[in-house]
Amino acid sequence: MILIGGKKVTIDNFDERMIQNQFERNVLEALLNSPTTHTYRSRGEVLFEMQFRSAITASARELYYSGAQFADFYKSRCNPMFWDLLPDGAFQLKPGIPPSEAIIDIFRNGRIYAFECATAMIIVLYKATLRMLPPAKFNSLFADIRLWGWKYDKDLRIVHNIPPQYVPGDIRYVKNPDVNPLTPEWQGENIVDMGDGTFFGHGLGFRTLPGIIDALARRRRPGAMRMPYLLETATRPGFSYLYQFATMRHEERNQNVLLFDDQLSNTSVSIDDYNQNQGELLKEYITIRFPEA
Amino acid sequence: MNSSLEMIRKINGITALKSHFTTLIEQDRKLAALQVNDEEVSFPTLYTLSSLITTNQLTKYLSDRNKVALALRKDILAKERSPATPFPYSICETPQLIHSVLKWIVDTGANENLNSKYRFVLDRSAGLLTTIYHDPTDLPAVSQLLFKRNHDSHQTHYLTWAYFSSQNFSCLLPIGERLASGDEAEKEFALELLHFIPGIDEAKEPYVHFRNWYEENLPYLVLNEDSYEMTAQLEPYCVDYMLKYKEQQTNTRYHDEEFKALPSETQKILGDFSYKLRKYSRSEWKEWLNRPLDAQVQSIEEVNHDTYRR
Repeated sequence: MILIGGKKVTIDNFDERMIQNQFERNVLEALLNSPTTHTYRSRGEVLFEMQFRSAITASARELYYSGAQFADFYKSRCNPMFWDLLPDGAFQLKPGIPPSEAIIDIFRNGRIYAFECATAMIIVLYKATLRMLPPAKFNSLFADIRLWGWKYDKDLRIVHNIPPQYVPGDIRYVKNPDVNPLTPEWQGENIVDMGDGTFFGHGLGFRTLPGIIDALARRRRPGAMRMPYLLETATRPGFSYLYQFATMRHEERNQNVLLFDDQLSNTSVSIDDYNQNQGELLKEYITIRFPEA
Repeated sequence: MNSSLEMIRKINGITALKSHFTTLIEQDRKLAALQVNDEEVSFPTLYTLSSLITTNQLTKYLSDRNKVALALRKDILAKERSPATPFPYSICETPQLIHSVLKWIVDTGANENLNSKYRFVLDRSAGLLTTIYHDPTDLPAVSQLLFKRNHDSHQTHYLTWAYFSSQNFSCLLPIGERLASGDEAEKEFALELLHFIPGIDEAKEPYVHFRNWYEENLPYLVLNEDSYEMTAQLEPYCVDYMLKYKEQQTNTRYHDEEFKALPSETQKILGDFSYKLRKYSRSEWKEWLNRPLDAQVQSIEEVNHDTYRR
């Protein structure tokens, strides 16, 4: 169930045009049909989370096709034009480089890069954030990016817990308790729920959950007794926190909807107000001008 | 340091060592190999000479220790591990020998830093020690390596995982000891590793805090399946507050389901209070434990209130 401003909403509150693809529809339906109450400040915030989750899966797909390799921290590598490779295998943004450009480079020149699965997840989340926020805002929020596993995640406000409900775009973890100690990089795999029954894991590609478990099982120690298993926890960026920066973008650019009546005098309303009162506004005004995307 | 090979490596460096060993081989292959078998020879020396030993086919002259060490090195550096392993020694058939060689590798090799491949071999050897053999006497050497890696700004990710995978709660002790170190960086790393101990970050004397916590909670510690791969905050072990509350797993008469349903902070408060009361008076504790849960929580609040007022 979704509550906006204390009121329960249904699928009818969301115009078809607001839902960009089947993935977003699935996310929306999952939230609407959930026995758990999901509270949002506005419909825009719901749409933001839907689009963000879609951006996470798109970024996972993009990372896969970038050619970035899987490597443990001993063999991490990166493009020295954008990143300094630290002795511990972390990537530190070079001084003077915009973080947005450095993140994009990972996807543009993937073959130069190699990292393990937790770092891959952070990269996917940064790229998804970059899809959702304007580059200038992204650059000011994440001015000093350091990529190393889950260790540097403060800016993304990552939430890691056992959620009441799993939603496509979540990052899950399959643990491999009997991993071969000679290959501890396969002690588990962070995976993105792609929403179509498959999961993306860096180094394993797109597989069903049994496929992921099977791949990890092959990396167990000889004589292992325990199979890999999916943990109950899920990891998500702070959608609600990050939404404020997306809405600030609207305010900064004065992205209101302009409405012209039959006398051609105009007035303006916010996108959220327009979305909420669209039916009435369409009757009253003859021309509606949307801000540039 | 009686071995000439050791002296040459430490004083003149690895290039001089290789050159000296090449000369020895040219003079007498078997004698050259025997020098490597000297008890005083350390793993860094053997590692440095490994390619010369292989290319000159000297392996057959080596001691069992050196043969196993070179086989382990080859296995650790192997690109493909499955389906067949190139390691010729079965851990099942020669477990003590392999254990002692792994220990020798870590003991004699931890303080050297030849190159990244060498570090990799050392870290994996330490990982084999802790994850396969689970011998608590190996833990100080592996913790030493862990702190050395941190000191040199090298990654500690897999080594930390391997260290805590020893599944031996006493592995916390060598880390806790570092809280009393005069080296601030060492203390800071120890605090980072032990961050999961409640209140340690705010403690005026972290070492004392650690010791008290360890002694109080050791019987109730359980393994936690968290790891660095899924969270920034590794929490390898945690306190089973229900066990701390009721003392023994078999004591099922006390409100198990009701206890599990409580918020984790309340579980902690009940567990800690139960432990202290038990220590103070067993009879009072038994009487308290038979009260309903909400009455127990209320009695703790009353005690805290009285303490605060005093």
